[in-house]
Amino acid sequence: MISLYRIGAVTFRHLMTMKRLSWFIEIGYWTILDIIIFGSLGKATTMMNMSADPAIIQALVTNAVFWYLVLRTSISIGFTLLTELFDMNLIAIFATPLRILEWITSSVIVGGIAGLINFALGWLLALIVFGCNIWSLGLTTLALMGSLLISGWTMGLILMCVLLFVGKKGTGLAFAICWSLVPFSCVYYPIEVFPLFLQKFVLWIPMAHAFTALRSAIMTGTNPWDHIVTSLWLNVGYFAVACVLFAVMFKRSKKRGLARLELEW
Amino acid sequence: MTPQVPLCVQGLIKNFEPSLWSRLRHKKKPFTAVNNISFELKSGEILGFLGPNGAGKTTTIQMLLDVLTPTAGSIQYMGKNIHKHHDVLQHVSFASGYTRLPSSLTVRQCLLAHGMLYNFSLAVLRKKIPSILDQFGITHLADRNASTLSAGQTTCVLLARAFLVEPQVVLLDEPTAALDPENAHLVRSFIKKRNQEQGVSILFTSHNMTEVAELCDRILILKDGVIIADNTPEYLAASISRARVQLIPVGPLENLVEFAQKNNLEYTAQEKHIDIIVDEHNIAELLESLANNKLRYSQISIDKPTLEDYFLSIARRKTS
Repeated sequence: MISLYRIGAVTFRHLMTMKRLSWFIEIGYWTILDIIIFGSLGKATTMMNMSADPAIIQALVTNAVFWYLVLRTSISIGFTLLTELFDMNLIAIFATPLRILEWITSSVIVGGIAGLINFALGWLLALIVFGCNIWSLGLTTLALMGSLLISGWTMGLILMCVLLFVGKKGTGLAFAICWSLVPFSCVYYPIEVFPLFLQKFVLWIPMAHAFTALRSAIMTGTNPWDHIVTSLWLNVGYFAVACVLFAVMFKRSKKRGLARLELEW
Repeated sequence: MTPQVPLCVQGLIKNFEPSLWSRLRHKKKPFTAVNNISFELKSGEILGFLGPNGAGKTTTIQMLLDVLTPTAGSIQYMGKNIHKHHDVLQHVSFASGYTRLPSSLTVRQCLLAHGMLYNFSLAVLRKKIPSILDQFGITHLADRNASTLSAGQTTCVLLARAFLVEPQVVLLDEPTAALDPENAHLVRSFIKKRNQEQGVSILFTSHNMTEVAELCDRILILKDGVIIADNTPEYLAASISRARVQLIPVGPLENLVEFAQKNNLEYTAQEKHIDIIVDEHNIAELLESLANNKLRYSQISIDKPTLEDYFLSIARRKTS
């Protein structure tokens, strides 16, 4: 039976790593940099081309804030496993009655909290520096937040699968695999920029639908529910697949021994 | 198999199959780390689990903790198969001298998180944690960050963590390896007390044979993945009949060394004394021979074989 105590134990253990100043500096640093870069880029575009839509600034800044929701959620989930590996605590954790589903639930909670903290920071920055209010989109903001949160969870679980396969030495590879989706997620440009054959592939990426919906809502003021619903369905499907994949990888990793993951570097 | 047996291992095998990449690149071959071992840990027993490095002890312990899947065989705690009833780990705890604590937590938080993994409520843990810290004499470490502890302090916290959750079976992998003699004694006393008062069954590995002989009711010796001995420490030590005769000579030590060499005796010469290893039955003959050769000694001591002697003898022996 699923135990809330066990879920609470793992969540508590990882939330404690987030209370450090270095964690806030890390999330603050990259969020500030990206929001200023993309906000300024949007501003420069409108200054150089008077016919450009001023909403482009809000589109770029908002997408940057939402992108950090995905990124921070996935990285934080990956870090739950990495922290155990570097602390050599993985055996101590899994030599207890803890179940895989409880571990996944805790990681998802930790990733979600980290992602939402980063999102809140980005929202404040966007509002203060560029006067962009993300919440002006209302229900669309909420729906896309939910969809992109699931994207972050899915990417985080895939990251953990790679770590379970190769151990600590696969840290770089795990993050590289996650980042490989970024160009196709259409965070800062529309799907149409890709050649036709790539567009067919990109349409299977839920984040591409979510960011297209976000851009469309800001630029046209309409609610593109088709993209939002597609991104949600794709996300739920991929998340379920990622959960199963994680369970399979965990079982496979246990055949070779979890201790191997702590030691190989 | 009776359900009361805290731990029952039957026909446990672990084969490691290298990946295709490892086979091609590093020419790794499949190998059997644990080869069909069976044993029981009885209720209230302290079972020593010994073996030379690479014997398969750690592999076995990892399988007992369900962090490594066996190739074949079954592991049952209290009559329940660990692979079918994962919840049975609720009654099993583990501590090793080689593991670490989560670096971002204080000692109190480490214990709290660990207790919650065993379904203990916060209210219960708030009462139990000060008590267990007190029993190990580490109350002053409660609010210290785990990453700032010394190796010895970390081991004490790991042991406190293992016993916090009221286990019926505890697997201890070289728990005193990083401890000074005083703390090692404290830990041994605690283990013995828990074992006697609460009947906790303990599987204990250590390279300190004196400690094993002092603590363990029974000993299993593993070599090349196979159990080659299963008996009490006293019986195992007595099973080798070689004794060590230590002599401090009157006159030059060289005469005794020359005597030992001439008679093909196994010996080690120190600065002032010589240790001659002989079969227990030949001690009288040795002393008579020394007298006949007018080799006099001012002091003599005869040591009976210890568990360490037994361990060394089997470690040197080639597995047939």
